[in-house]
Amino acid sequence: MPYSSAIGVAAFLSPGERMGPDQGKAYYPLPSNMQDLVAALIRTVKAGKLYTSGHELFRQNVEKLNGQVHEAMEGRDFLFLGIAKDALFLEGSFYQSKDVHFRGFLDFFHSLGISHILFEKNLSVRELESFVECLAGAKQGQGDEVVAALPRENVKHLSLGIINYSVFSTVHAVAARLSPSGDDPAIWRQLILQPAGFGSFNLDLERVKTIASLSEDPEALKRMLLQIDQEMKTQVQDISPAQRGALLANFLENLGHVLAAMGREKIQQFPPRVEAALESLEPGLMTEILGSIAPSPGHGAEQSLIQDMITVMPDQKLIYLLLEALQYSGPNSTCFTHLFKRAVLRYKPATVFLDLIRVEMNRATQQRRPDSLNQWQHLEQLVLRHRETEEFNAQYQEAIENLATSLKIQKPMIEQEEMARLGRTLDPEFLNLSKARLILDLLSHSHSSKEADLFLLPLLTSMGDTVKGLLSQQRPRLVGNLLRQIFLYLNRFPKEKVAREIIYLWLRAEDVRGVLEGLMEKCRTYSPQETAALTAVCRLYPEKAGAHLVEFFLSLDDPDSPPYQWALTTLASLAPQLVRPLDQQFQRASEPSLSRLIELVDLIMDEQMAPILEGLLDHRDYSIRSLVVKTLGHLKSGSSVDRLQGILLDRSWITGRKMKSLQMDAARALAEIGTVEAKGVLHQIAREGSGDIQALCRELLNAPKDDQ
Amino acid sequence: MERNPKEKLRDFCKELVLALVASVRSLSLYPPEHPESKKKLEGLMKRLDLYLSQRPTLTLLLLGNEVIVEDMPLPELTKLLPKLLQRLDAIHLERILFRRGLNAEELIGFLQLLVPLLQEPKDGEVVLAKNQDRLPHILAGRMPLESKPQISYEQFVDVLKLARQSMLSISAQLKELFSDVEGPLPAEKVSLAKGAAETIHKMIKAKELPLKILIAQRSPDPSPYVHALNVCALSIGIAEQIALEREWVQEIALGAILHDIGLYLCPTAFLSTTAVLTLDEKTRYWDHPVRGAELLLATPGIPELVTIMAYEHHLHYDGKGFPAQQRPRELNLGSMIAAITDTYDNLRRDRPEQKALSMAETLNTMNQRAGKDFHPLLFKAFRDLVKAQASNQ
Repeated sequence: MPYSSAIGVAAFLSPGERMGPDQGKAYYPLPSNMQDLVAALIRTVKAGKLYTSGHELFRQNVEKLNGQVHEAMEGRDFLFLGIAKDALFLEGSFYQSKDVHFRGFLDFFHSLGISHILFEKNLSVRELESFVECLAGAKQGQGDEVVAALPRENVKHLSLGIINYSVFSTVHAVAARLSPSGDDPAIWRQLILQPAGFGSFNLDLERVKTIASLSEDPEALKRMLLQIDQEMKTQVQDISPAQRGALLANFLENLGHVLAAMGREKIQQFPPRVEAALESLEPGLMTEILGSIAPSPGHGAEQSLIQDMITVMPDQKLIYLLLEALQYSGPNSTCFTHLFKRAVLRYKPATVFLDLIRVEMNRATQQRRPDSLNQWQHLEQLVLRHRETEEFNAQYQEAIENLATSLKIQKPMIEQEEMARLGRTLDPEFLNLSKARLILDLLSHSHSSKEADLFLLPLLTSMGDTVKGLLSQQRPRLVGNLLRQIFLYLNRFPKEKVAREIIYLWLRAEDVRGVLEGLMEKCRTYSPQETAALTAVCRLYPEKAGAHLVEFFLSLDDPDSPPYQWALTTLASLAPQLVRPLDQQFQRASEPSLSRLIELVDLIMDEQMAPILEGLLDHRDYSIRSLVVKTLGHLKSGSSVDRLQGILLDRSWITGRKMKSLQMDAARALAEIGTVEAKGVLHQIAREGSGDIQALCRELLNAPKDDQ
Repeated sequence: MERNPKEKLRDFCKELVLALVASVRSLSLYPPEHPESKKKLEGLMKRLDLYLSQRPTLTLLLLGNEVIVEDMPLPELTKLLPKLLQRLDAIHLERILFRRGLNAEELIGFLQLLVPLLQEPKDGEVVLAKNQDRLPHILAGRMPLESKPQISYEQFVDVLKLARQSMLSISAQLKELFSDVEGPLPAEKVSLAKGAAETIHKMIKAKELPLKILIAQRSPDPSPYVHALNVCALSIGIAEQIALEREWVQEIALGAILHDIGLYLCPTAFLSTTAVLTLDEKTRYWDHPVRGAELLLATPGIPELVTIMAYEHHLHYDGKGFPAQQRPRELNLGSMIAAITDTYDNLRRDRPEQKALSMAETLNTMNQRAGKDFHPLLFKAFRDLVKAQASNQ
């Protein structure tokens, strides 16, 4: 349906006048009010290049442009202008004009790399002025920077998009395929490209039926999603999963909007259908789709398909979705940020959220899946930080309001107290901590490579001095909390690897031990709040923290207790860096603690530990040997096959009961290791051996694999 | 008798203006390749090259019938060039700024653009503005927002006879301080900044620099040096008003002088108060607290408070402002003082988007933001200071 400025439903051209792509001609002629808007925008940008914002000529142009925008928007809440290669995309159709400004308009936005503009109803003259100033000051290819500048300039009712221009032609092709009967495919283009959450769609009866059927037929929906995504993937060069996710999310949200208008029943049955369809897409795309649209600022109360899906999603699924977004898209990605906000809205109070993460984190440790532990710890830290920030903000606002009230009723005592508080901001300690936080802010700000070269080292040196200064003042907990903040911001630092190395050199092993002891002194329940700084210090100084952490673990008896679970999870997350501290522990471990140490190695599942364990295969206590053999099996230690073979082929003329049991364990361990060499040994015994061992080896070789 | 450096500079500036006029005249008669034009243009280019090899910019102001090169009024030229000044006035050409990197081709292009406009001034301003893109090292046009100083140079001299020499000297020091900033400040610049802060503090104490003048009769001059000086002086005023110890007053004064140091990491930042800003310049503006704090942290001998002030002076008491914070910083007293004095002085000087406001307008505007942008008690202290100065006749 072509664009009409007055009413959304009616075409501004009569059917006979249509020149849409489906009637053989490529485009509709641009309506005159839109031509005026295009010309006004280009004229205003030119004025913005010549005159400062205070200049009368510039202001006049902006005001005129504002009039044109609102005229073009009349009757609607928004105006979406897609800037295709040689046409404007408006309400699902493509438009062209011979007007000289039209080509200039397209060229200008192409040069910046901006693909669409979304004007919202409440756009003010000031916002429009700031927007034009940004455009006028931008150089070729700086579309991204314009997008980033708008929030800084407090432009809230206008947004821009940066997508590959070939998306428009691909959507055009997809839409044609979705309308096999040859009717106008504009609605499909509009459903895919128009940002979700804006305005309604004009549908004829046939189209209503088609869309309604999608809410009943999950297979049809699945096919449609696959078809759209496949076209995007193959036709649009370098399209990212995030961009594909955004287009599919738009499409689904817009479908949801249409269905909601058809009635409660339709929209209620839609989310499960969508979920089923999303499961069939390639891994990771579902996360991108669900994370591509920001939740409304109205605390998730908006009518949104994605919000509905998130609201009813099982806890475990949602938590894993977040973990996936964190792992693959990163903590600063749009996808993770949106999903995180939705999860925060769902889990109030945050302790529920934190408990769910702890449960999954402990489960991952118990199930010997240490790969995900770093992400779980990171997620826990992010939730905690979010909660602390919310609490701090609330307290800060309250303090401001209290002071304002006190000043109104003229309470001199309060004024004096406040002035004294202000005076304390000049105390050396306050200044020191304030500087430390400042450095964190600076390091997490974006830097060019040159700036990073110039400032990274002085900033980290200065922070290191602060940390060492606090340590020399015997303030380990303060150091721990500072290191926690550093850990949280580390992924934003320029040259993160270099920064990690410098930070690692700040503290010696005994300093780290002192910090950990100081922090542990205050731990009562080992809740996420209490362990946040501990975990961060361990992650920043894995080797230096390892020995103390292992000792702490060995001192704990109850495997169900929170400190035991925290210590085990943390050790498992540090595994690759624990070889040396564990080796040292094994050297000096007493008999009783030896088995605990082996159990620990078994749980943290790091194959690098195998050579340390092999040293215990000749231990005089057979129970220790047996534990080692079993652990080598769990570790799937390919390098231990020879040693295990040695046990199996032991031909002592008297094989005692304990040795026999050990040989059985070795056979099972070889089966777990499962390499060609390990199987070769089992085959050898199955062929040449005798008795129970031979029988066991045959059984193990014939046993179906777990994954079969 | 050997002339002093100032007299030498004055003669040099005079010769430079005359060389410019001679080049314009020559181009109005001959093409640039003509030996006569060539000779004049070479003379002008040589002088510009010499000056710009030592300074990043050269500003020529043509206000009414006055010619001022940098800060140096050259009244003798008024008599020599009355017609030319009249014609320049007709096209509203009040300022010509030459930047380092200028070459002969660009200079000739500019003069060739100027010659027909002097003969036919109609739409001259628009023509100049439209061609600005072709002149990366020359900025020509009106003074920002057509504002004229509220007090003349002579009045200024009368009012501040005692302070004049010191003011000029501080201004020159600040100019030196803010030029060619490329990274951490060298020890000489740190001493320069500390010396300037100390001098301003002493002058206020000795009443050689009356705050009343800075508060009530602030000229709309957008110069960054005047701004730094004023923010410093007013910050000292508030710090004294709330009875801070001398050492803190001193550090706050230094922080106030260096609060915008992040802006000067880019040489074109000098233009930012008057010209249309590019997106890169806007970004640099938003980032200047970050860049300034980085630079000061990496500079030996800078107290922590000064660095914190450079970072926090655009942060608001209610947690807003920039650089955006995830949660409000517990702002430092020095930063909150600088936020007030920086805002006051910014509103009182010409900016691209707004003409300088009067004292009353500024205070009214700021009053509405007390408790939001500014700490209410510190703003109260500032108002008390203004009141005390206003009643001090």
